[in-house]
Order: sequence, then C-alpha cells, then structure tokens
Amino acid sequence: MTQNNTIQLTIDGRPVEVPRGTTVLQAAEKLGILIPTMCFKSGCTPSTSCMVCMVAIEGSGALIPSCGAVALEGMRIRTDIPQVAAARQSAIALLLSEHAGDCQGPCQRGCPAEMDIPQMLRQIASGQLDQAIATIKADIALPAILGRICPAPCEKVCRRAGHDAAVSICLLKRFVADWDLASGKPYQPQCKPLTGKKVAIVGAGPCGLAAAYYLAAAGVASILFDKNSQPGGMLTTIDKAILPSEVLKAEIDNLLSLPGIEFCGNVEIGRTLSFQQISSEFDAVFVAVGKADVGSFGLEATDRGIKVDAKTYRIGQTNVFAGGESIGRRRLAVRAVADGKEAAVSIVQLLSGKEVTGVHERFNSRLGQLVEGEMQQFLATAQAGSRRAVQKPSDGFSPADAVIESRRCLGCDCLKKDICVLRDLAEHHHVRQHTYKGHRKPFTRQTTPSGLVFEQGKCILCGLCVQTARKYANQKGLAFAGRGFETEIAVPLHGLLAESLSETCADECVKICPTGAISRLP
Amino acid sequence: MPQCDLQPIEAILTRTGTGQEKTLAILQAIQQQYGYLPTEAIEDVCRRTGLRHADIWGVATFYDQFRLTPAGKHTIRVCVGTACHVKGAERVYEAFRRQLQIDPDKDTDKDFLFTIEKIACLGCCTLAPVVQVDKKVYGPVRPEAVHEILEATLREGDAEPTAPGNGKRNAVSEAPVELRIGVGSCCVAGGSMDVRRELDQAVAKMGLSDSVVIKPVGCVGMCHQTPLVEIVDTASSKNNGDILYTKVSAAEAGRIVKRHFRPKGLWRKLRMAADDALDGLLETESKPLVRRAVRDGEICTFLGGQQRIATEYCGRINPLDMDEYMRHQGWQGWQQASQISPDAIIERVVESGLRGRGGGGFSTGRKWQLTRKAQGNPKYIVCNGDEGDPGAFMDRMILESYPYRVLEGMAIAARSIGAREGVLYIRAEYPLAVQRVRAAIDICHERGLLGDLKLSIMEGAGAFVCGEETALLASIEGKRGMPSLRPPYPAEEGLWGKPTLINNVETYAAIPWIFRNEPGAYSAIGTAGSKGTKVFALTGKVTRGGLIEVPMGMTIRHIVEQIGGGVAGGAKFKAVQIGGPSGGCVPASLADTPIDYESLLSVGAMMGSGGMVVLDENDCMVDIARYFLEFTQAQSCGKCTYCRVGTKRMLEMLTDLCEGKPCDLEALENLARQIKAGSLCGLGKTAPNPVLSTLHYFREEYEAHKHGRCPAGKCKGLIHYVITDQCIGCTLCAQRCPVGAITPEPYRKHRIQQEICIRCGTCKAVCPAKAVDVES
Repeated sequence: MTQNNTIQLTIDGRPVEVPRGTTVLQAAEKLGILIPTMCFKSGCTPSTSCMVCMVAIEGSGALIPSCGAVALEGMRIRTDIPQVAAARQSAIALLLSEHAGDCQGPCQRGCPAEMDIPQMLRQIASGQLDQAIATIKADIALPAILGRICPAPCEKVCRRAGHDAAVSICLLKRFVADWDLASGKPYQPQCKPLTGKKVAIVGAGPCGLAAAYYLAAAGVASILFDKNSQPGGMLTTIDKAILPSEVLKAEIDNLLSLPGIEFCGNVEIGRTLSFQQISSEFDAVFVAVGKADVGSFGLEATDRGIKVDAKTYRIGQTNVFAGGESIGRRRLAVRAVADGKEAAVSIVQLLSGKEVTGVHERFNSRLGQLVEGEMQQFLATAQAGSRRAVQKPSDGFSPADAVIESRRCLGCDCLKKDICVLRDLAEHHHVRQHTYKGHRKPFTRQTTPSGLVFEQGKCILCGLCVQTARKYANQKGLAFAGRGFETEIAVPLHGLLAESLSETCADECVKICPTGAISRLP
Repeated sequence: MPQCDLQPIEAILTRTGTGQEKTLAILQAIQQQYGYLPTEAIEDVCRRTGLRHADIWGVATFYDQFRLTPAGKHTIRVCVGTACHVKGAERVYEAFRRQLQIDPDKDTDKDFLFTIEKIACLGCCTLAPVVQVDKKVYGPVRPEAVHEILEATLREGDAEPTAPGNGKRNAVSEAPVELRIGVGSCCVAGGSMDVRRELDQAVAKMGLSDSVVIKPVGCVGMCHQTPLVEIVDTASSKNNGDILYTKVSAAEAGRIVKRHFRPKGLWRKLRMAADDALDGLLETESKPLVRRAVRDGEICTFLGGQQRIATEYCGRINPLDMDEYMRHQGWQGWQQASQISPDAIIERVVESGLRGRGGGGFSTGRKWQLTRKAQGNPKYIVCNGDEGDPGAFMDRMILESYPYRVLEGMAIAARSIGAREGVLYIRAEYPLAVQRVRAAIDICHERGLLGDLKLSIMEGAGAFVCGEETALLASIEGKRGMPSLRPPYPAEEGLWGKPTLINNVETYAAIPWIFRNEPGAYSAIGTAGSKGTKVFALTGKVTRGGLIEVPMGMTIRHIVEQIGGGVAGGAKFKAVQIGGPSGGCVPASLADTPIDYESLLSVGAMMGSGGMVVLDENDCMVDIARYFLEFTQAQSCGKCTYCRVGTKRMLEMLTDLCEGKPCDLEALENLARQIKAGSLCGLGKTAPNPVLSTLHYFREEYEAHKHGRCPAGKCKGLIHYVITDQCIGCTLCAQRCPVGAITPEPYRKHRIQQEICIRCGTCKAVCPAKAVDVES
C-alpha cells in the first residue's frame, strides 16, 4: 500500500511515485519525459486551453491535457503513441489555421539569403548602424557589392508595395555596408577559434567567398583557389560604373583578412593541381567555379551542372560540396552568396562529425492576402510618404533619408520569431500551416508610445497575460472578451492599451506570452 | 451617444448586492435600466463596488443577453431552435430584416424601433417557427406575414401581457366545476392569456363565479393543440365526462362558457338570450367548436402509451397552488425521506436506477453518494435548469408546471448530502419559469416546507455552455461560463470550491415519486440499464408535437407513429434527430431502436436532454449537420483549441458543401474525430456527433452536395425555384416576392428571374395552384 500522501502511476510504462495533487505533466517531468506545453507556465494556473500537452490514458484511450490533469493512483499514461502525436499535431494545426501573422516578413522569405531585413531596417531607423551591419552580415557576406548589383527580389514581395511602393531595401543595405567600409574598421564576425580543419574552395567568386566567410566564422580555415590572379570571379566583370573597383576590393579584402582564409590565385584545378589531390589533402572541398568546365574533376554532372544534394550541396557521400553557378543557373549573385553560406553549414556539420543535413529549415507562418482594413493596421506605425529616391543610380542614401526610408517598413515580421513557442512546436511536430483551411483572425496591431506591441491575431488565448495583469492592482488589466471563435484578449471597455498595463506588468506579459501576440519593439 | 444618467446605479447596487457573484445580476439590472450596458455605467459600477474592469468586461462580453450598444424600442427575437429551423426560421429572420431594411452589419433599424436577434431556442418548438417580440410570442410565423407582427407591435405600443399564474390569486376554492386553461409557455404563446380573460369575463357576466373556477394549469403536453381549455366536473364521480377544447381562440372562449353553463338569475338569463340573438346576427358563419372528449381518438393515442412521473398530473394542477399539490401527493415523498437516514435516502435512489436526465446519464444515486462522502463544508445543492438544446423544452415545462415537485426533489437531495443552501440556475430565456419558481420558493419558505434549506434562483444570461456543470458553477460565481477540467468533479470541489451536488430539473422532478412509491416501483419501469421514464420534446415534422413522457425502452417508431401520429402532411419519414447538438440523426431504417442510454449511443445519437425532432424527406441532412455546427460554434466558450477553432473549421467545410463547393469528406470526418477525442468539455466532445451520424447514415447526400446537388431541395445555393405550367396567372407570387424577381402578368404563366431571386420560398408558399417547384 502506498502512503497516504503519495500516489503511484506509470507513464509510458515507467512507474513513478509523486505527491498527491501532482499533475501528470509534473510526474512526467520527474521521469524526464518531455511533454510540450504552450498555454501553461510553471507557477500559473493551468488554463487547459491550447491542448498541445495532450496525453492518453491507457485502456480507455481518453485524451487529457497533462498540464491540468491531476495524477491519480494507478493511472497509466502514454505520451509516446501515434494517437497522442496526432492530437498534438491537430491542435497546433488548428491554432495555425487562425493565426494572423508572419514569422519572417515576406521580404526575408523573398531574399535568397534569408537576410533579416525588418531587423536591419529597425536598426537603421534607430541609428544603430553597427548592429545593422551585423544583422546583414549574418546572412550576406558581401553587402556593399550586392547592394549595387542585386535586383532585390525582396522588394518585389514587400508588403508596402501593396499600398504605395516597396521599401528601398537594397539601397538601405548598401547604405549600411558603405558606412561600415568607410568607418575605417569594417565589421568582422566573432570567429570561433580555428579547429585545425581545412577546406579547399575552388573558385573565389561570390559563392566561394561567402563560403570562406561563414567557414571562418565557424572556426574552419580555407584556401580559395582561383585561376585568376585576383579574387572576385564574375564580380570583376561588372561595369565599374555600377560596381566601382574600390568597393569590390575593400569588401573582399576585409573578407580575406578573416582568420584562416587564404587566397591562392593563378591556380587552375585540373591543370595546376589535380582535383583528386586537393580532395584527399583537404578535409573537404567546395566547388564554386561558376560556369567553368569541371570535366576534369571527375564529378557526376548534367548539362545543368554538377549533381548535388539540393539541401546540403554535398556530392553523394563524399567530402566534396558544390554551389553557385557550378550546380545550375544562378540568375542572381545573391543566390550564389546564399549557396556559399548554406554549403558552409553542411561542411561544418561534416567536419564536426555531425549528420550532414544542411541548413535547418524553419517553420514560417504566412499571413497571406490581406483583408480589408489590415493594411491600415500595418501602416499605423510606419512612416507615411512615398519611397525615397536617389539622384542617380550610383548614389547612395544620405543618413537622414536612410532613416526616413527605413521607417517606411511595415514591420511584417514577428518580433518574437526566434522565441515563439507556437513556431517551435509547429516545426517540431512537422505541421503544415494550411492543414485546415478557413478564415483566420484579422490582423490587428496596437503599439503604445513605450513600444509595447499587441497583436491579437497571434494570440492563442492562453490567458497568461490576463493572469499576469491580475497580479497588479490599480490597473484595468486585460480581459477575455467575447466568446467562441471570436474570443480575444482585450483591454476592458475598449480602453487604451497604454493605460491598462503598468510598464513592469507589460514587460512581464511580453515575457510570458508564448507567441508574438505581446511583444516589445527593440 | 447621449451621456447616460448614472443616478439609478446606486439603487441598483443596493438591490443586487455587490459581490463578484452578483456580476450577472448587476449587469442584468443595468441592461434593464438602460436597454444596454453603457461604458460609463460599467465604470461607475467598478468604482462603487471594487469589481475589476477585466472581470466585468469578460462577463459582459460572454453572455448573449448583454448588449454593448443601444437597442431599438422593441426587440424581435427569432427563435432558431431545431424545430424552428426545419420549419423555416431563417426565412422568417430574413423577412424581418428585409421588411425593416436593417443594414447587413447592424441589428437595429434606422429609426431605432426594432432590434432583431436570433435566439437559440424559446422552447415553444411545437409552434415553430416562433418569434418573440418584447414579451409576446408569435407562432407559427410565416415569412410573408412578418409585417403584420410589426404593425401589431407598433399599434399595441408598450402594453404587456399580464403575467399569468400567481399562486395566491388563483387559490382554488372547492368549486364543483373547473375550467382549466393551460398556461405553459406554448399555451401562452398560442394566446391562452386572451382566452383566459374572455373566460373570466363570461363567467362573471353569467354570475357563475361561485360554481365555476377558472384554473390555470401547467403544460398539458399537447402543445400542437394550444391553447387548451378543459372543463372538469370535480363533483361528478365519473371522470370521463371531462371535455377538452383545443386550439381555442379568444372569440370562442365566451361561447364555450355559454354552451356549458346556464346563467344564474332570471335577469341574467334574459340578457344572455338577447346577447345570443345579437351574436347570431353578427356572426355570419358560426364556426363549429372543436369538442373532444379526453378518452377519444387522436388525443387518446397521443396521451396513451405515455407514463407520467416527472410530469405527473399533467394539465390538472395549478402550478402554484400548494394545497392542490398536497392533495395530489405533494410532499409525501419528502415525508418518507425525512424519516430515514441520509444514507438510506441515497440507497433508495441508487436502487431506483435513476440516471441523470441532463444528458450524461451518470447514476444519480452514485453522484449523491460521492457528494455525501466528499470532505468539505458547507455543501451546496444546485439545480441545472439551463436547458439550452435547441428543440428541447422539457425542463422549462417542468419548472413552469411543477415547481413544487422540483423543490421537493431538491429538498430530499439536500437532506441526503447535508446541504443547507441551494441554487436553481434557470435560463434567462424562460421568464415564466423563473417567475413561477421564484413564487414557489417564497411559498415554500413561508410555509416552512424546506426546513433549514435556503434556495435561491440565479438567472442565466444566454450561454448554452453553462449547461455544462463546471461552466454553470463558474457562472453562479459571477464569472464567464467557462468549463474546467474534471476531475475534480463538483461533487468534490464545486461551488466556491465546496462539494456540490448538481442535478438537472427532470432528475429532481422524478425523486418525489420514487420516495412515495414502493421500493422497486421505479426500477420496474424501463430497461435493464435505463430505468424509469424520460420526458421528450417531440417536435419537427410530426403531426402531434408536444411534451411527452414515456417509459425507457419504447421504440422511436412507437413515439413517432403512435404518439406523434406520424409525419405531418403525408411526407416520408426520414430520420429523428435525438439529443440536439450533442446527439445524432437516427435514420428511419433504425426506427425500432429502443430509447435508452446505451441503445442511442450505439446508433450514434445520445439521450442528451431529450429533444426529439422528426425530419422528413424535405429535410437536408447536410443542412441539419451544418445547422447544429452553427449552433455549437456560436455557443462554444472559446477555451480549448479543438472546440473553438475545430468546430469553426468543420462549420466552414459544411457551409462549403451547402453551397456546392468542394469539400474533402475524409478530412471532415478526421477533424470531427479529433474534436470528439480532444475537446475539454462535453460541448466540444459531442459537437461532432451530428456530423458523424449524418456522414454515417446519409453519406450519399454529402456526396451529392459535393457535386452541386441538394437532393432534399433545401440548400439555397444549390437550388432554384421555377414556375410550372400549372401557373394560373393570379400574380400572387409577383405581388409577394420581396425582391421583385417576378413580373406580374395577369392570366399568363409567370417567370422567376433567377439572378434576382433570393430563394426565400415565398412564391412557393403563396401559390394557390402549387405551380412553384424547386429544382436542384
């Protein structure tokens, strides 16, 4: 007989003894069994609303939310059966079907290098150019160059274009990169200590250079072989009026000065050095020779280019990777730069003994077509007015214009995209956003003068903010309003958000909100 | 918007009290005062009471009853309960909107004369489709006649019908002859208050006040025949001389009195004779009175086969006459119970086999046992009278007709668990029930019948989910009616965290009978697993709808064909929808299924609270499924993902089907199963049942919709009306068409312009030559 104040149960067949009153979730934690939660935070009253913490009772097969369900004597719980996975998946899919918000903004999704454009724009707008260049270089190794030659696919999908004209993203990126190069101490990433591994990069064009950059950041040394005496590849062939030599040189020189990067010109692989030789001498090889003939490399190729795994850029199970124009037509230099960055990820995985899976593809919620009134919500906090123009194509923005132009950004991306529980769960459970089609919530946004942002369309109605607001007296707080599908978290009596929460309380709400519904501008 | 006068708020708060549990009452009083909830008034309440803005706002926006914008002078409530739905409530609703020219995003006309709302169920299903304007109920309402209702409302102004059935006023004297007039909601809606006034006048005029008593009685159950007047000679030893008049109009009432009674005194006799002669001259056509003896023919079939326990003495006792209740064995059950120990009481209930009549079917005795055993003090007793199923009205009828029986049942239950305080939670849509129960409680307290048990009433504010016990308790505590995870069950942690016994109205109503009859008497009725009787609201396309009580185990066929007289109008019987939004559709092929908890579950339906809507070949099963989903969707509390979002997605799929858009039936079915398995409370867990059962039995209709066809000719998007060669060119359709889709061409065949037609069906309804067909 168990003692009066403890009970025994089994979870996934493993027995556990817990104090009476313990929830199933806590009992599972004790066994180290991970159950996802979203609407529940330790220390709060379970709302049992999101239903992602579902577990099954063995025998009856009944599903219960583990965050609120009290463990009972003799209970047999399963967390590892398909039925539970399906229940969690459908709960997440249902939440996503009504979710009104983008994780990444359309611009970031439209950028082949997936640069976090909205963040860069916010940093420009607040004058933090040193941070803006870090944001850019996290994904684009050669922004001053691309800032002059990129046809800006990001601007084609900019939401603002639906109102007046796209934000001048490319020129703003160039503005930051030029400012950086002119600063005398151009930005360099925080590179990890060299691991001793060495990669041969064949071809020092935009793709090879980008690969070298991100390998260096990860502590992997590389030698860039190029048949020409100078690095740059196809970049050197561009009209100097568009891409002045000094910009090209300055940006590449800065890149080459990173630890572990070596440029070796006038070397033609297949003639000067055999391909077999470098592939055996180096830990890995990255082929980025552009349109050059690779017949002598002995690699399997079609008329489009070298055959690689589309996700990892790896050739078969070898230590050879290829990217850029060498694996197929690349209309955009930024695509080649993205290839280099992504291949570097795969190479680092190989060299550190991990499974080579390539860049981890993140789940992205998409807002899709706006419905009536939503553009107004986006425009409410953005700079009014049309797109800033420059006198001639070769001109960049003045600092003042850059700030104004960057403020035209609608901020489509989610401010909590990197810490959102819903996004993580969707990704982890392989949920497609449109498993269930139907009307989503309307996109709304309220921003207080202090930068608190409230977007009801991203709310999962966990009520953690309502609970939090309750702790603070003398404020109107937040309330559940309405019923059913129309339920929302709202300021009581249609009051003002800024007046309903104290700043301390607001910060706590931002922290506890599992999605991007309540966030704060940086 | 005019600044609102906050003067009355202080008085309101004095009246209602100011605790959080008073939130609903406060808001109800404010709405009564202002017609809506003005922001300034709510702020003032917060200031004066310390109630939190967030809490009060949550409540104000949760319940249907509360309005946040000013309303029109009159309120039109169009009932969209199941019975009304199948009889065309949507068309009535649209007709009102058209007539009043209300903008699509508004609910009130420009002159602020009328506000229109849909209401889940007025509980007058046998009069479907039903509309309530202010306090007056109309039914059945034809879409083409809505202007008459509007005109009548404007003409009559603010005159309110007198409140029926005050116990003290109607105290029965020992008069030899009773004129019984039904005063259940259906009868009142059918005009019984006017009839009663006429009867009163006629009796007074004839000087019969001493020998004839006009007695208001509760529901007779034959709601298809309302209003009912019965003449009973109580002095007569033989009971078969009773005479029942059905569908009595006010005009006929006086003649009934004249026919049966002779005026007292010579002078009166002479005057009556003169009056009669005058009447004869004025009335060109004298309508024959409908006269039926109770034990004859049709009525007999309706009443026969029924067994009345919860509705015992149906149509025979004055709801509020305590002495009469006592003469009819009232409080005898309580006397029995008060002489035995609480444990023995519970044992007796366990032995009876009674199971909860609210839908779940949990053993009543077991529930009492658990509550008795639970640690905690005080303990509470609650009566769940939040009957919200569209198409069900038995709780309303029991509360209106036998309030003492429910209170007696509660008193016995309270004794068994040791509760001294109890609440009856009654839906706001049942004003008559609230009024009667309130009066009944007062009388019981006055007479000391409840001992130290204190009972009070809590009026709901319009939220179906509050029928779920944990949501109901939250509502009593003055919160949003959100269900919570069980366990803990209310028996352990209920109202204010204390052990609480919650039973449904019908369950309590069965208790006195169990105690005043022999042990074993109740369990002798019914089937192995389902004992006793069950009250059903038999409605829809049945000839004789009404409130019936039958022993468990009776087949669906018996109920529909014998008691209900089969499908009305000669159409083919298609299915019975049992259990409302939680239940399912049982096809005609399974009509021999006996009515008991397990059998109904096995055919994909469920007892629910006892709505039974008969459907015929003209009813579209996809439309029925969509209808119920629309209901549950609108009534979902919005808490758990499956119910809040899942039912919405299902509804969208069903709406697509009804509009002939593609739909993946597999996906629909899968989603339905996920919602059933995953939802937090009973509402969500059962919401998919109407979809799953129709998908199972009528899949071919779903397939037909996928291909743009509605076999029953019901789904507007998939049908069109055509005028056939039968047309006689009378122009009636053209005159009545609300959108001018038909050009009047006297003596020629008419034609409907399909691009203008809104498929309201008016032309078909008014055509005297049956020349309008529906094509799918």
